[in-house]
Amino acid sequence: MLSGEQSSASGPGSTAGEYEGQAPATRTPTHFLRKVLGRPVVVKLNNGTEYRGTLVCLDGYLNIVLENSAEFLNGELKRRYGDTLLRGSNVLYVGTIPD
Amino acid sequence: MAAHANQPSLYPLELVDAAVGTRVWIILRGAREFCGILRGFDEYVNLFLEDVDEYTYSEEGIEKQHIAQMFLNGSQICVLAAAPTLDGSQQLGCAYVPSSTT
Repeated sequence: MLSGEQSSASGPGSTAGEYEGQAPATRTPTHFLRKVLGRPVVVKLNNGTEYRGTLVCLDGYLNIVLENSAEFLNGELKRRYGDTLLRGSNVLYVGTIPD
Repeated sequence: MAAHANQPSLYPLELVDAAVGTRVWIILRGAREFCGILRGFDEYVNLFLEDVDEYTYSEEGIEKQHIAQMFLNGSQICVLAAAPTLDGSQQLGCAYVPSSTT
């Protein structure tokens, strides 16, 4: 997944000219994930559980390691963890948190 | 196929490509929807969204949450449509111009 960034917006007949001077690679989901490495993020799982913490690393399966993480259920803080691995198959989204 | 021979062909991901930069409405499996500006996507239709509102529907009502930038997993996406605007002018893929007509 992480190696697939070049394939974005390059479908048959794609209007590549639109992206001139816009560096399309910076707009792909993959590039966004690279950009937020080391930053505080919110990760929501398919079951609705939210984890907030610092994004330490991730892989192509979207397995995610968080640092100083907290678990939220329905917006309520449930538990705090040090390091957490979130298995990629459960990840719904990764979002930024305003500092 | 013959009946469509005169029409410009448009692959599904071309439509998504044409929607880049516009506000889109995304309906997921389960009672969850997102509305945000589409900035990018990949072959799995994982999305990179900005200025996103997340809507979660439950028996208690609708919960709304704002997220500045997000990576959205494509595996849960059911529908991607143009977000409604007041004048109704915005259509998904309105920036798309078939190459055969230019």
